[in-house]
Amino acid sequence: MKLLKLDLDIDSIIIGERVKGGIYRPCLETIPSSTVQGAFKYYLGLDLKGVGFFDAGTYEIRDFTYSVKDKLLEVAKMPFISSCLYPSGRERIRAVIYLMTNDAIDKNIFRNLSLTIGALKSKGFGKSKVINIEEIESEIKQGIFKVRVFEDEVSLFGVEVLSPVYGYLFYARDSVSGIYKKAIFEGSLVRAPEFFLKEATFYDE
Amino acid sequence: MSKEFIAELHDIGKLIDKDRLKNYQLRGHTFEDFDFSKHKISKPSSPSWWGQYHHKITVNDDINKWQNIDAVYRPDVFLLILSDHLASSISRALPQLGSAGESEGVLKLWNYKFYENEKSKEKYWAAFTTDDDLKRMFEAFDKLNSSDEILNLYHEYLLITPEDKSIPRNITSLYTHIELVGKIFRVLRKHCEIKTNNNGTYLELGGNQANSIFGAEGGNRTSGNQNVDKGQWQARFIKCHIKFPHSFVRLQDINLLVKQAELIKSFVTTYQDYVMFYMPDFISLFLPTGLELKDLFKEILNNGFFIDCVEIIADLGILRSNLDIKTVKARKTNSQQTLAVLNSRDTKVYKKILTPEDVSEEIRPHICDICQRQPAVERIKENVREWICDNCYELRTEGDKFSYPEEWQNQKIIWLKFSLNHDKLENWMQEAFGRYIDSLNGLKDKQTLKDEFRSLACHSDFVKDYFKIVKDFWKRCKDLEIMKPISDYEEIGVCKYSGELVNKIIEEFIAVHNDYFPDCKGDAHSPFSLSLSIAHIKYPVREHWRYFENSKGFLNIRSHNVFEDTYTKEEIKWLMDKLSETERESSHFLYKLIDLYDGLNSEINITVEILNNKERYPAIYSLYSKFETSPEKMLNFSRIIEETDEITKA
Repeated sequence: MKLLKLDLDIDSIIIGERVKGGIYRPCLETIPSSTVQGAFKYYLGLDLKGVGFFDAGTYEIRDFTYSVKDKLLEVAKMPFISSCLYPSGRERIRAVIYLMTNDAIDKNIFRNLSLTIGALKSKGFGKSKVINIEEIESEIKQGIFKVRVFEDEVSLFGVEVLSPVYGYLFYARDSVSGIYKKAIFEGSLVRAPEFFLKEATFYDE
Repeated sequence: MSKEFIAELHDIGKLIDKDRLKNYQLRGHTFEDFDFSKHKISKPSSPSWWGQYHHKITVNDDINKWQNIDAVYRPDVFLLILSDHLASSISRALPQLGSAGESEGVLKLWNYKFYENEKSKEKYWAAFTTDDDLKRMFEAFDKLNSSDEILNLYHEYLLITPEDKSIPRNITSLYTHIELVGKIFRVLRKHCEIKTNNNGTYLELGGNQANSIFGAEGGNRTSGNQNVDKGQWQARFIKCHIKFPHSFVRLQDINLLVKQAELIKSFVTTYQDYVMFYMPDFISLFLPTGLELKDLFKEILNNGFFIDCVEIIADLGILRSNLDIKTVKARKTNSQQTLAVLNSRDTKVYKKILTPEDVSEEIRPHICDICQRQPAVERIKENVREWICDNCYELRTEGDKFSYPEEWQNQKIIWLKFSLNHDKLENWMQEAFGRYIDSLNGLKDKQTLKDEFRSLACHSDFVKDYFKIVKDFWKRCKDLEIMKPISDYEEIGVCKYSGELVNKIIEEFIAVHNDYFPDCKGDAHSPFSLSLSIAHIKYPVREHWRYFENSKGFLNIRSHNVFEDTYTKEEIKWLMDKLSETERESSHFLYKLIDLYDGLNSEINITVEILNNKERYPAIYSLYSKFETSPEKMLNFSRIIEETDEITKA
């Protein structure tokens, strides 16, 4: 299975987990396909499928307190705390995004591409830069899935779902509306390119 | 009403002290040849009596040739023998492996001195030591009507007597052994058909016929070329982790744990014989093939939980609860000697995730904040807008409503959780059994013994001790101000933070560990652990729970935004006993070491500094050199058990 691997440097980032209640919002430690898709559509106008991971050891989780302003009433809403990823032991967080591309796409458009990913962009989060591009090939293996991908897109990633853990990811229909679409979550048993796996397994199918 | 065949009675003779009843010249633990008329004792008439013949049968004998046994009860004895084999910790059919002696009491791999300690409390393994006792034992066959009666009546003796006194088979309690035999027997009895043809009686399970024990179970070995014949009958051991996607938004949302406990209790009551043992989030099952798992778990799945299972299907002769580990390992290492046997015997290991049936393709906003699986309704409370589905809202509002005491407001609190990790337990048990075998003299083929270890009964015994240890912890802490947020849910607690309280919690944790699991090393491989999550009272319970779900070490401590570390039992002992003696002096030195590391980022400088001050700070030197405990880790521990430190401020 051939994929395009993008290495990214990131200042700090919040990819909000889909938990809205309360005043504390946890942050995902992977980059789901919905986030990758949204970012490249915004910056390149391309409908690209991909998922990503942060390199363990290059980040730590901290809290960020923020108060949302109700623009209509001109008042601040109750402040909330969001967990976010900050660099640890180095200047930037290192992440990698695996993209499904085809020959029609010029790989050079990704070279040194700067983009902003995730939530609270207005507060400076999510500034990212592509620092390396590589075409890679990965062996398909059975294992435990470590990413989140829309169910109807799993085959595009070369993933065969053997036993799914379902969840929902937000799918933007346009800039103001969207729906929650069924997705395959981490923990599912799959056959997939090795780098989508938390661990390889050897179960009967 | 006709009496039933009670499988649990088959080993009751193991509770007799033959040395004190020498007049009867008893041999073995069964009484099929006992001369009742000579001793003027009435012979039992209950069907359960035929269980005494379970060692009289040769595995290759056709059931129709079991002349000593009443034909009506031969199928029961047939199934009893299979159940006895399935429940044992070491295969009965291994070749002669030498002799390492006998032990009077049970040896727990995690508590070698268990029986010695019980004896010091005036307890003795044998329930039958006098002539009258012997009569009572025979009367029990006719008097006792259920398995529960037997387990309750002889509870005290069964728990300290080994299933088999011969070393190394002495590692399982007779209680757990007969409990498992009884359950497996009833499952087989329920799903097995007794049929007759021209050749006589035969038994059928899952459409497969058998008329001898060997025919049903096949060989008992998982590798090599001896005793590896394919059996006619297969069954399943299934390990089920009950999980939920919910996140606790408000404190009351922990009612989900109550729901989980209720559903599991209901499952265990309904399917008690299928359940080998269970935990608040785990069920171990023995099932025949063909029974649909989703149907069994329907109620649990319909309530939004999902079940992560590992299912093992194998011939009865090799079926064991830890066969998945062996099979997966053989596949990973491509061990042909084992794979050839497992494959020829059609051994399967599946991982299945059972999910609720009604999973919608898409959900229009909003989605439930808590379960994240259902469309939600807007709810507003205290100016906070939430979207919660009806099911989750009902859970939040029903049942006990735990809330933090008023005096805790604006304070730091501690959530604590005990955990038992089943994957770690499987690995630990295999290692511990290996160590036990290695420590014995007189055994011929140690590797075969290790390879054919069956962990189910030991696993079940360990779980029983886990329940006891947690209960005992709460008993010891009854005077401390620790609350159970869910009554009857022993694994979690919460209290207002104070260094003194953390100190006491850790002390009691170590004390109960010493009592119940002294030979289970308190390190990262320990299946049993305690996690402490310390944060301001406003910090969401969901995040405490998320921390608990990833507990890595023996003692895990996280103080939100301050530090997160794991500690081994040895480290804790040193930190509490040695370091605390000179902590005032030591803390300055520890700060200095941390500054040194931050400035130079060099381990060598730290090592040199610690070596230079070895005489002055011996505890720090020992911790650093013996356990590689970093100065930061030492300091964090010291600070967290100090009440007056700035860390206590909200």
